[in-house]
Amino acid sequence: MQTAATTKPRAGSLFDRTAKSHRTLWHNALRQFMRNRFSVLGLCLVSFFIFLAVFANLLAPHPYDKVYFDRVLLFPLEHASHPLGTDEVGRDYLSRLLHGARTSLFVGLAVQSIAVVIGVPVGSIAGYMGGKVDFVFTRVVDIMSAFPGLLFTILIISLWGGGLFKVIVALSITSWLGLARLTRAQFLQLRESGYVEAAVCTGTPEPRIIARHIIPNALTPLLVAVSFGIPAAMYGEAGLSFLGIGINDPLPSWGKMVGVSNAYVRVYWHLALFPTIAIALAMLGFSFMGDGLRDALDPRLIE
Amino acid sequence: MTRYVTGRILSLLFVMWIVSMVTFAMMHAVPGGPFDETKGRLPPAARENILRKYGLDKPYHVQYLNYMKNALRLDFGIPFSNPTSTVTEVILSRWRVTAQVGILTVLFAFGGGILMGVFAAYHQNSIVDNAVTFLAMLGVVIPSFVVALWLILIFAVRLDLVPMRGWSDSGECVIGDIAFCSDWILPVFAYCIGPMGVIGRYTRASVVDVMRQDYTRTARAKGVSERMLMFRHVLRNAQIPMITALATEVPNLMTGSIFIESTFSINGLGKYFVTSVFNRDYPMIMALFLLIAFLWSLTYLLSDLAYTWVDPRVRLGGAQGA
Repeated sequence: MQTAATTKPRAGSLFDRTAKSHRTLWHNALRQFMRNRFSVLGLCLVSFFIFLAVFANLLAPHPYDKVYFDRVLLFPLEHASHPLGTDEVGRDYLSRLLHGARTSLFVGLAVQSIAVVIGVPVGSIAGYMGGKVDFVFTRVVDIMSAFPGLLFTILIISLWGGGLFKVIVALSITSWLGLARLTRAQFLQLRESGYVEAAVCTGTPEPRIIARHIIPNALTPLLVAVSFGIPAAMYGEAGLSFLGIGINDPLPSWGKMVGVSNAYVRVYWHLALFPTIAIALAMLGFSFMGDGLRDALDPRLIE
Repeated sequence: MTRYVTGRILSLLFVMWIVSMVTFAMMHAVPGGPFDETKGRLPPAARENILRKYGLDKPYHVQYLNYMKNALRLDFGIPFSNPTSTVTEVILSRWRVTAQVGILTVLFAFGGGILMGVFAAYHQNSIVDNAVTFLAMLGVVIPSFVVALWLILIFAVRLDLVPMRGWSDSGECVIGDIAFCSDWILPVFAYCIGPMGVIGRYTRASVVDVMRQDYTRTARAKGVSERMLMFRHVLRNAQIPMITALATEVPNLMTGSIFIESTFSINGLGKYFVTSVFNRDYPMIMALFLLIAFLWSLTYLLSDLAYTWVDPRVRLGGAQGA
């Protein structure tokens, strides 16, 4: 009887745990995320943007680099096959906008992947080892932060020349710093936590502590940082291309389209209007999504 | 305190030294120099003469040491692209324009941002609050060159109210008679929207936080008028995040926005930086990098000191006490 009484609640609690297992962090986060109208709007914008980027070559009515010499600088709807008009050398503007989404997304994802691959291990090592390693790391990061970010990128580009891959590398050089610093801070904080101490006491080997206890707990802030890092890299690419030192022709880039349109804006307003709207919507989408993710994944905000 | 400040100044100098070395190394790391293509093909003898004149024929470490020796005496050399004046003169004349834009932008960004933030926080969670928060968000995430082009499309092209671009180089349009010239409206507006959003968000968050505190409730309970409550109790305690916002925005605003300056054809420092970089104008690049790194480090130092001044509870330099 006694044993039955003790096993029953245990079975019950086990059962309860399986029944409640849907209320994990991720499930809570998803519910929290979906409850926020802005983050859902952001998610929709981002999905739409990714859809355009992925299927750009199917959706675009013309090849992005095909020049129609007899149809230069057409206004929207002026010609049936160019719904958004043509640019200053007679290329279909809609097709260039669609492929611009691809360029932008590619740069954003590539830069953040590089930043994660460099920043997370470096930050982890500094945060976990502490001592001299950490000291050297903080000095290096401090000094690198003293370099004016955009100007430094421009200097690098001026030395290497523009182009898709050089832009990605140049933007990555400065973008891993933030992630490394964040990872280090997470490690410093989690290293002191009760469960890591407990794991150390029970003799868990260090790599296992890092992989099973620290990394999963450091994951959500890093995820949020990455979700803000992608639009930051896209912004960087657009900025460089706007100045004429980013993506090279004929590859389209929204920033470059805005920069070129600057000279024609008094008459050919459509050249300026469409790419600026595209940039603004993409930026808004990613920011709303990032904000939503942050609110959803920060357990302190969940009541 | 003195010890802390001395330590910070020493580390500032160290950072400046590293910045100078890295910049120097990067400039020279790639083949090609400033006199390779300009003015057609120079005869080899003439080219050698020019290189000798600027000391570019010497080994790199000698060049670097010479540069630093002069830089310590605040002599930053002669720009290759404008050999009749010194780097300092060129920077000062460009900076005049940039600083005009910057000061106006700081004023508008802070005035507008703090007003927006306090207003939103006071009417917390109302429609007004949501609208202000949304506008601040737009300002933060939309790039300034996009906003600038929209402003041009609406106010200069469509309505034809203001000039499309320009900012008088000679400084005719100084802050004093700013009311009489409309050049500044679009660039300053386009430029201040981003910082205004940042400051608005910081201000709102910190005012909301302070308004939840017990002492605010106490002040209200003892019958302090709402206006006094905001100015004497809430705003004074909400200053720290605002100083952080100021610290991160001011160096940016004072060194000028490359985007705004190239959109509106303003001959400021930011635009000049891009041209110098592409002309391989070594002395200009070095000087600009050092200047900007210095401004950044200095603002961080000053803002840390400002924390202690605003909030005596903040102690700097660990637990060594006052």
